[in-house]
Amino acid sequence: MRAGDTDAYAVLVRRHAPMAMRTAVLLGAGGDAEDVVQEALVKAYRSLDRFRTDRPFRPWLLRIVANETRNAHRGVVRRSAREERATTSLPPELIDPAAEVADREEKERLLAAVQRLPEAMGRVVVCRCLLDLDEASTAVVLGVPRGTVKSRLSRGLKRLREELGSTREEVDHA
Amino acid sequence: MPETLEEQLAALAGDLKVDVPDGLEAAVMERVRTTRPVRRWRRWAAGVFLGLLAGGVVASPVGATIREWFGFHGVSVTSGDPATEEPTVPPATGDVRLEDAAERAGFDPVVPEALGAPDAVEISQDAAVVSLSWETDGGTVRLDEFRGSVEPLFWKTAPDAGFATVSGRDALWIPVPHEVTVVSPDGDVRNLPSRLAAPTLVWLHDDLTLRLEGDLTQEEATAIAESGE
Repeated sequence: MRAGDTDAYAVLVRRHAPMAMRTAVLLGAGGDAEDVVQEALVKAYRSLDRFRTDRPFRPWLLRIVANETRNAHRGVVRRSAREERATTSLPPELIDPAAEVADREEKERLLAAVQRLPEAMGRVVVCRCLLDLDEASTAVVLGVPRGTVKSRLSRGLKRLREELGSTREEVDHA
Repeated sequence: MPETLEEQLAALAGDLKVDVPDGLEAAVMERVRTTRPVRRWRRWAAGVFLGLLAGGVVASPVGATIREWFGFHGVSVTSGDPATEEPTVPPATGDVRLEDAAERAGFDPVVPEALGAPDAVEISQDAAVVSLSWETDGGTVRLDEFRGSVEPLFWKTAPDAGFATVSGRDALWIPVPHEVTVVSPDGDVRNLPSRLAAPTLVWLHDDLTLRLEGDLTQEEATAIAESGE
């Protein structure tokens, strides 16, 4: 432990890197996820002095990850608006291609539907349902009030239900 | 396929696989080491890991936060000169039954299988700490257990503390005899004498913090700790 302060941070990095990667990827960082997370972890270290000490570390870190993801995404969008959206989307390989996955097709369809949600709604659905963050943490991570998290979640889920309902019908009719 | 959309999303989340790229941690730490550290972070880290026992780490909310990040509530490690005398491990004094201690403390004390039923069980006056002890061939082995939410109870002075793992989770190993100052929950440091402690392993079990003390190697201590998981 003599090695000093950075060792302490290494433990935090190891502990939180998996969730940080997951957050970056699911919020749409795509191929930039590794860079995004690296940047976020370095930024977090540099801004530890601005960290509110009565708050838990993880949501604060994930907020930096979410902001970095957005910045990376904005850069991409600016370069060539619409086509690039596809390159930052969620790849179907996210559902472990090597593993035995029950209902793989339905899950891919669900993932694609989450991805098609309007951005603000989609981010809330990702945080609450796919990252399993509670309402308070989601509010911190996305920088919106808790009430907004609640309403966007319910609208997002409603829209997903409608959309999945309609695709299911289409399949049935086919 | 599960019925409700929420369940479907939860099932989907369970199947999503995002790997941490090899080298991410190393890349971050490389940049962190070469970056100019934020002075306050240095100070807090120093407070937690390297010293300042007398300097009032107790009063530092940031120190408390870092302790929470690491999950070792109630335990702080600070530096100091290594103690040279022989430590003595005080056995638990009391003839409380384990069940009664559990009821008074409000949690079920962990009893590591490797040690079997304790020879003595003690509960602190404020019912915050349950202590078990065993008389072994290698001398007394003592296990103190308390709820994670209890604020600093043990302040240690140890030059060689290091991270360890118990069942894959972070733990602290303090291999050399070290001073332990017991702080009462009301923050009064002086009302209990500090004493010299034998090698100690500190780890977490659910919301309990456990500290195992005795004339043990790290392997022995870890094996005992893991037998209680």
